[in-house]
Amino acid sequence: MLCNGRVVIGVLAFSLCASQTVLADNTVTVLQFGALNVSSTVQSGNTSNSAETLQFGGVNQATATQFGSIVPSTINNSIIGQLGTSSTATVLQTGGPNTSFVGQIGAANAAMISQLGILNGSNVIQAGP
Amino acid sequence: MKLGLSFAAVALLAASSAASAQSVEVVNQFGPQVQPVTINQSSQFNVAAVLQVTSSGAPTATIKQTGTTNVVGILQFGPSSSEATGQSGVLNIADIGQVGNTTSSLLTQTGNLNIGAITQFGMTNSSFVSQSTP
Repeated sequence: MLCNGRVVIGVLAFSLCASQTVLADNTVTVLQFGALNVSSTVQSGNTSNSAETLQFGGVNQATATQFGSIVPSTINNSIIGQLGTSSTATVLQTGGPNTSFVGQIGAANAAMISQLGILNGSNVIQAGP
Repeated sequence: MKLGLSFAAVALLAASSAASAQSVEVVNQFGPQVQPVTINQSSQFNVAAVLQVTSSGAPTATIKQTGTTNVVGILQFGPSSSEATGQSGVLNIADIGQVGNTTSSLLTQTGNLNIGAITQFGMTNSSFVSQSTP
């Protein structure tokens, strides 16, 4: 049953990833498979920033920083998906609207989302054994 | 006769402008050891493609592009793969793939439209991406 739940969460995460990937001023996709995965993305755009990071491994660390303006609005979109023993995700967004999704599956999961803007939305899904 | 020479001069000038308007460099390396690759491009349209495959060496690629449109493709297979890419222009595109024990990627893009993609397979993977619009 738990396994089925993981599959559902995984499918949900990847569905969100696929549906929210948009072409922006700044677009980056990072895909990592390994025992230790470290990713850091910094984006500064006028219109929109989009970052997508997927990590599969033992220890995963992902940081997504997006800088934009509130007026005129800069659309920030961040997606972090992590599968591993220990996963850490950090999202910093300035602008608006700001949307972030963090999906983590593993024994130790930690997520921190900081958003500064008029319209902010975040979704965190964490699943452990 | 003068008219013919003028046409020839114009044709040469046009050919030389066309040559400086675009720059395409392709580097393929295979072997136990591979040499570090360094590419600097400053044409209007820049394309750099690097393929490094080694069993015991350390694939290293450093690419710098300054132009209107910049495109980079890097594929590295080796125990310790690393790359550093800097792009400055209107449209910047970088696609990087690394396979090895240790992989490292540094991508810096400055332009109106920046697109980066990094895929890493290894024991230890690290990537840093910086994108900014003017």
